[in-house]
This record gives sequence, structure tokens and C-alpha cells, in this order.
Amino acid sequence: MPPNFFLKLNMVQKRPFNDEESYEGSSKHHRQLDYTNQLVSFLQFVHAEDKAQPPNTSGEVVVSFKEGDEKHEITSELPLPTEKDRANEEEKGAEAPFYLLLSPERYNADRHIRRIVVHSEETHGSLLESPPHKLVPIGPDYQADIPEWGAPGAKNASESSDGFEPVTLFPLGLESHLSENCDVQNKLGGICVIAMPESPLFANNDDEAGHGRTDCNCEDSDSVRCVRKHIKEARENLWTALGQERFSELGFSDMGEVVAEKWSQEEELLFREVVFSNPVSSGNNFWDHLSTVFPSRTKRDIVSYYFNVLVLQTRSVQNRYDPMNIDSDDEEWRGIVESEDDEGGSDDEEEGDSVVESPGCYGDPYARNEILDNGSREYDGSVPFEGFSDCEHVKLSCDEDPIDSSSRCHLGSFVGRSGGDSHEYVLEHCETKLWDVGCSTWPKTEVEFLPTCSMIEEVFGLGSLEYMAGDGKGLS
Amino acid sequence: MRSKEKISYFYDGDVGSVYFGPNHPMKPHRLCMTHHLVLSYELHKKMEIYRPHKAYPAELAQFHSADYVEFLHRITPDTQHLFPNELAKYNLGEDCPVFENLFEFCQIYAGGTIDAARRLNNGICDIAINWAGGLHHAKKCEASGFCYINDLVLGILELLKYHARVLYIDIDVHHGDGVEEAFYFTDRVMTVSFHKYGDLFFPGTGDVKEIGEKEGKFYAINVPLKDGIDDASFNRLFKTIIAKVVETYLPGVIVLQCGADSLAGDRLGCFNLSIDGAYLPVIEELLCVCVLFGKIVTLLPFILFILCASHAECVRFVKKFNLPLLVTGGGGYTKENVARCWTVETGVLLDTDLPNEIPENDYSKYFAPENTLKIPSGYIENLNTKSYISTIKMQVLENLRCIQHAPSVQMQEVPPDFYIPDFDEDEQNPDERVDQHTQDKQIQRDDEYYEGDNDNDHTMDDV
Repeated sequence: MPPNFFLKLNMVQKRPFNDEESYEGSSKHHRQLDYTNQLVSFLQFVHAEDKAQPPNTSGEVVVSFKEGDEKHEITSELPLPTEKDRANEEEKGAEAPFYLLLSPERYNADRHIRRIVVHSEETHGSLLESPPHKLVPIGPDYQADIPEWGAPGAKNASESSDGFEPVTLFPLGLESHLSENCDVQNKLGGICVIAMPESPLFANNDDEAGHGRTDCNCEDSDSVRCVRKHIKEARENLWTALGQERFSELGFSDMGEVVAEKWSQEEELLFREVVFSNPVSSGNNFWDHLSTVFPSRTKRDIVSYYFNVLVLQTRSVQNRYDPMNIDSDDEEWRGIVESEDDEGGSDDEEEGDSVVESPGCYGDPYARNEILDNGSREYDGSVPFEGFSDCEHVKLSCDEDPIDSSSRCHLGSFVGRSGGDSHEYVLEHCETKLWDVGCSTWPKTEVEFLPTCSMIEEVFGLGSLEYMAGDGKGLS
Repeated sequence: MRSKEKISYFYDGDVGSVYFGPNHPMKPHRLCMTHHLVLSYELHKKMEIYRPHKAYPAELAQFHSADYVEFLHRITPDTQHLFPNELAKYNLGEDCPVFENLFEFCQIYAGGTIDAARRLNNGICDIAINWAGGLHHAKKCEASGFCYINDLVLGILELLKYHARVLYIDIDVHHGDGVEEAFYFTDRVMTVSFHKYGDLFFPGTGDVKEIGEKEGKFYAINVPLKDGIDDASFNRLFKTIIAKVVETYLPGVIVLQCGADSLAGDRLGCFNLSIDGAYLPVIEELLCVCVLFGKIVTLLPFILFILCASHAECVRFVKKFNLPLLVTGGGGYTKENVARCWTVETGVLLDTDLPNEIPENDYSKYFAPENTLKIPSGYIENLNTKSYISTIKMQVLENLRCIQHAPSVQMQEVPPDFYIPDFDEDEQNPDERVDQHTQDKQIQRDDEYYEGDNDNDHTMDDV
């Protein structure tokens, strides 16, 4: 069963992220707290009518709660609101609450006082639909201990006639040293990654920051190749500007699809297989399986790969081909499989099939340096990616572009399933020598692309395109 | 325009690589996306970037109970089944699942806010940003609403060592209950929260009548709203109330929680706010007498497309007070919109207008196909009638007057001269953002130079 999020999610659900899940808009406060010395976990307000009493004659509220295994009840009379009261409350825009303080002897009074507000209107209305509004709990378990004002060394306002706040602990001039000395910075909190420019008067640097996207001159603008190329350029620019150390310190080495470079091809295939075979909507949790399947990988690595590679690649497809239904948190959206398989393809187009996009086209320039230096080939055995890279294949323009000889991208495509015989793939024209590395198992043929929409209809039947466009959930 | 202030920005890459669980709406990966987008716009050239220290358990225990911190420290997904009672006691397991690296995650985001507060205290920066922070639901002894450690309370406690009065502003769609509760009894922290209220909306507190107690009475402000509030209404309300709060309370520092779930299109939220304005048609039905081309013309009715202010406008407005400012993230469950929002707001804090076209970056695919910072408008019906908003505003302002007239509330701390933007709702021209008037306003109270610690008639109860 998928986890049932109470409280924040149940009370909040305005835009369910999974239509299939049902969340209780419960009127009860589901708080099962089993304090050893404290009470009340379960509060339930029972409408007077449930007590078989005539309505409108008494505004009686029964508060029942559990203390451990015992059930207690408190019955209280509430004043009946008159018509005038109701009108007044309407005008005020707020309701006059009735404060019901649960009797202190049932609690360790110093520790736990939880007050419940019952709006008097609701005694006649539907207590079950409109539960009491919570009040702020008070007691030493709730409020913070406020420190004294005026740290040692700081000036007191009372000593100052001009009313300046005590702010500086360090003499002037030390500040400039601080920018250079990270150890000192550490004492103040935090390790400096990027300091302010040293020139005291940095010029109006509007030109240096805040630039947006510039139009590219690519013929295949917005294609996968184009996007890849520009992302790669952006990374290189940043790397050049920041330097290797800062580049890593800022976390760039672990961002984006370059993360895939730390994973072997087999691992990537396995990752996808685990994720797609254990959809959450079926009550599975692929995360548990991932940890089992990759015992040497930390959870951090797994999460990083998931978001930086897998989800991103899914975005690449969905945001392009189903832009009206973009949902980056839909963890089960599967791209459309486009296939022409020389080996006959797989008959069962399961929902586990996915579009796999290649991350292998770019990476840290630093990491790639040794590869570039090796002039004979662009991929080197030391690269974990093993010289085989995939690209998303659904874009028609892909196959029409001659591969730029300077491009490191292999335009081939690959739809991931483990095992060689069930692979579906499309390969395009590419430089033969690039395929020599580790790719001998893949036939080099050219396959004609069909338009995506006709592929969808062919695979899933007529009318499926509209269905998917409307649902946005892809295959389910 | 160059930013005059010095801005410190906190980020640790490890904060984004935790996972709450399948289908859980809280996705810390949004922080990686935000960070990357900020850097793609090259905003790192205008601010200092720090990797925060990981908060020590002892630091977390400045607010939270020691046993709760210890439990958070020790519990893992593999062992949680052994501690059902404690899980229930600390409200862990459902909304607040136990996941791998949970404690480290808490240490990072809390460490960021604590470091931010310390830098502000020492005057090393004017504005400090920690988008990973802002988890405002966490309570002293339990987790709540996807929040485990309340970094805001910890940061405010740091600030309270150097400032007599701290103003906390919360524009998350959910009530900032954890922060309000922590400071419910004290007047040294004024908490102001704008949030959706009613219809079983989490957390259930935040009624306008919640105003604090004891010495803290009138020092908690709640602005409960209904579904679908739009830019214009929200910003008018925000500016009116905040201007009055600052004028009355005279804080030494402001903490601003910028939960992005108040944006239109949020997975859990229900407001219609844009990130930084949208051109919306507004039908003006007032009789207007205008001088047009030398002639007096009566226009009735007419349609204006006005640039309505927005989520980022709140940040812009608060920044104008020129007070030390600690900015945090918070809720936000549509990742790409969160990244957009906090990037825009980083730009706002740096006085940098960002071009709408998002530059290429590793996460470009999240922003395709439009690749713009703007998000689509919201379509939730606005249930906040003018009279409702007016009622709420009146109640809030009335409560604020109680502070003004209370002679017992002395102001220990004299903040430096600061500017309060002149904001008169009736005269506001919605076409323009709030202008900076040429004349600075300086506000001093007669009883400001009160010596000593006894700022109240009765003993201040430092609970």
C-alpha cells in the first residue's frame, strides 16, 4: 500500500498527484500519540444528534478521547447562537469560538494543555464536516527558551547614545582578511566557496550577471542535439569561469546528466529495469529494490542518479511531446517507444519500456580532457560509459543531421531492457570509427523514423493518442 | 543597478540528494535545481557563496528537546520498525518519513540558517539567503508537515542574542505554526503569517484571532486567506500590514520565509500568485475623470491590463526597509516553479532583473518547452471577497494598535535609521511598483531611549 499521508497531505489535497490514491478528508485529527505520561491522542467530536437528542434544543458537545486504552468523555453545554449572533459573525468574517479547555486533572497540567476550539455554529451544523479549529498548544514542551539580549562583547543599546545596534565583533579591516581566509570564515559559520570580488568598487556589473538565454543559430534549434550542445557549452563556460575547484565545490560535478558517467552501462540498464518493473502505483517501492540491487552504491548516489539522469530524461520527452500535461513529479510517466527492431522487436509493449536518453554526450570538461587529448578516438576505454551512448530517438530531426565531426555525441538510440535480445533500437548514420569501441554487438543500420503520433496509434491502437494526451499519465 | 548590500548565500549539494519516499511531494532535489538556475544566471558574481556547517545536535537542542534530537540522530529506515512508540511520539513515519540521511539533511538546512543568522549578527552581510531552510512546521518535540528541525526558530534564537526585536514574516501557503508556537509568549519576536485557512487545510491553526499570549499578546499576527487569492489582493494586503507592522514594532532584523507553495499551480497549494507579476485584465468600474489630450473625459468602465505584483514583490518590499534580512525557502511542491521563484527572488535581493528566457543549464529540460521564468496563471476561483479581505485587514490593524498604545511595551533597541516605504493603499497606483520616495522617513518613539532591560511594566517572562 502506498503510504497514506495524514495531516498535511490529507488536509491539503487540492491537486492530487495521483488520482488513483484516495486520501481521507477526515474530520478527525489522526494523531495517535502514546506519551507515557501524557494524554489524548484521539479527539472526536460527536454531534448532539448522534446522542439521539432533539436538535436545536441543546448545543451539546461531547468530547471523547482515548487515554491509552481508556476512553473518556467530557460533555459540555454550548450556548446556542442566535440569529443575530450568526449575522454578526457573518459580518465579522470570523466565527466566535467556544473554548473548551479539557479538564486539567486529566493531564499533567504543567506539561500538556491542548485547547480545542469549537465554533458554536458547528454544534448545529456538522461537527463531523467542520472539525474544531486548533489552538496553539502552550507549555514548556512547546515554546522556545528566549536568550538574553546582548551577547558578550556586543555593545548595549543603553550605552549608546546614538542608538546604533551592537553589530560588530571584529575590528574593521579584518573583513578583507576574512574574504581570503576560509578558516576564519568557518568560525563565523560556513565555508566560503565564492567570495566577493576584491575590488572595493566593483563596477556596474550588469553586463556580467543576469544574462538570459541567447538565441542559438543551430539549424535544428530545440532539438535534442541542440539542447545537448548548449548545455555542454554552458557547463564549459561555467567551468572556465569558476575553475575546477569551485566548480566542484558548488556541486556541478553532481548535477545534470553527467552523473550518469559514474555509472556503467549495465548499471544504468539495471536501474531502469528495477524502476520500471516496480511502479509505485502497483504498491511497489522500487527504492527498496534499488538499494538491494546496488549494494555498493550509497542512497545518495541512487537518488542523485534518479533525479539527475532518469527523471531528467523523462522530462526531455514529456515536456516535448506532451507539454500540456507536464508533471515532473509523475514518477511513472513513460515516454513513447518508437521502434523498428531488426530482430523483430518485442511484442509486449509493456509500460516498463521507456525512452532512454543518452547522457554521454557531455560531461565535465575536466574529465574529458584526457579523452580529447587522445586524438584517435573520442571515447576512451576508461570512460565508464564504455564508448556507447544513446540518444533519444523520437525527434525526427535527429537522424537528418549529419553528425558534426566535432560532436562527441553518438546519435544512436536505445530502449532499455536488459538482455540483448529484447533491445529495441534505432541507429543512425554515424562515424564508423566511433562505434568501434565496444559496440560491435550493435548492427549499424539506418532505420527510417515514423512520426511519433502514428507510432503511438500503431502500437497502442487508434484513438490512443487522444487518450494519452488527455490523461497525461502515459502508459498505465 | 548594482546592489548596495552584501549578500551571503548558503548551499550544500548534499541537501538535494535525499529522498522522502515515493510520491511524497517534498523533493529536496528542487534545491539543486534552484541553485543551478541561480548560477546559470551568473548571480554568483554578485554575492558570496558559503557551504554551511552541519548543525551540531547541541545547536539543534537550543530549541528542540534533547530526546527528540537524539532520536532523529539515531533512527534509520532499517531500524524504525523497532521504535513504533517513539515514531508516534515524535510524529514520524507518515508525513514525516524516516529516510536515509535524514539527520544530515536536517543538519545542513539548519546549519545554513544558523550560519546566516550569525553572519547577520556580526554585520558581515546585510542579507543572508538559505533556500534549503524555512521548515516552519517543526515543533519543539516533534516533526510536522514534512519538517523535522525548525531552522527558523534556531536562526531567530541566534538573532535574539543581538537584537531586541525580530520580525518573522511567512508567505508560505501554510500557517507558520512552528515558529508562532515557539515564540507565542514573547514580544521579542513578532510573527506574521499569510496563509490559507479553513477547509481542513494543514495545519489548522492560524486564525486571525490567534494573537499570542502573555507578554506575547498581540505579537502574533495571522492573515487567514481562502482559496485563489491573486497577486493584486495579496500584495495590497501584504504591504499594508507589513508597513504597519514595521512602523509599529521597529524590528532590528527581519526573517522572511518564502514558501513557494503559495504560487499558482503548486501541487499542494491553492493560491493564484505569480512569481513576479503577470499582466492581468482588470475591469475598473469606478467613475474616473481623466484628462486626456486636454479634454476631461469620463471613463466608465474600462479594462486595464496592469502588471500585478506577486510573490517576488513581497521580497522586494521587505528588502526596501533596509534592515538586516534573513531569507529562507519553505514549502513548494512543483519543483520547477520553486526553482524559478527562488531564482527570481535571489535576483530581487541582488537588485538584478533576470531575463525571462532561462539560460541553458543541466536542468534545462525541466523548464522546457517554454524555458521561461514566468509560470502560467492560476485558475482557482478566488474565494476571497473584498469584504472578507477588508475584515481581516481591519482586525489585524486593530490588534496592531494595541501595541502602539501599550505604554508597557518599551523599545530597548534603537534600530538605525531606516526607510519605510510610504504605502497608502488608497493612493496606490497599481500600474507601478512601490516607488521609493525621495524623502526618507524616520520614525522614533518618545520612549525609545529607555535604559535598562526592564522594558515592560511586568517582568518579562523569558520562558
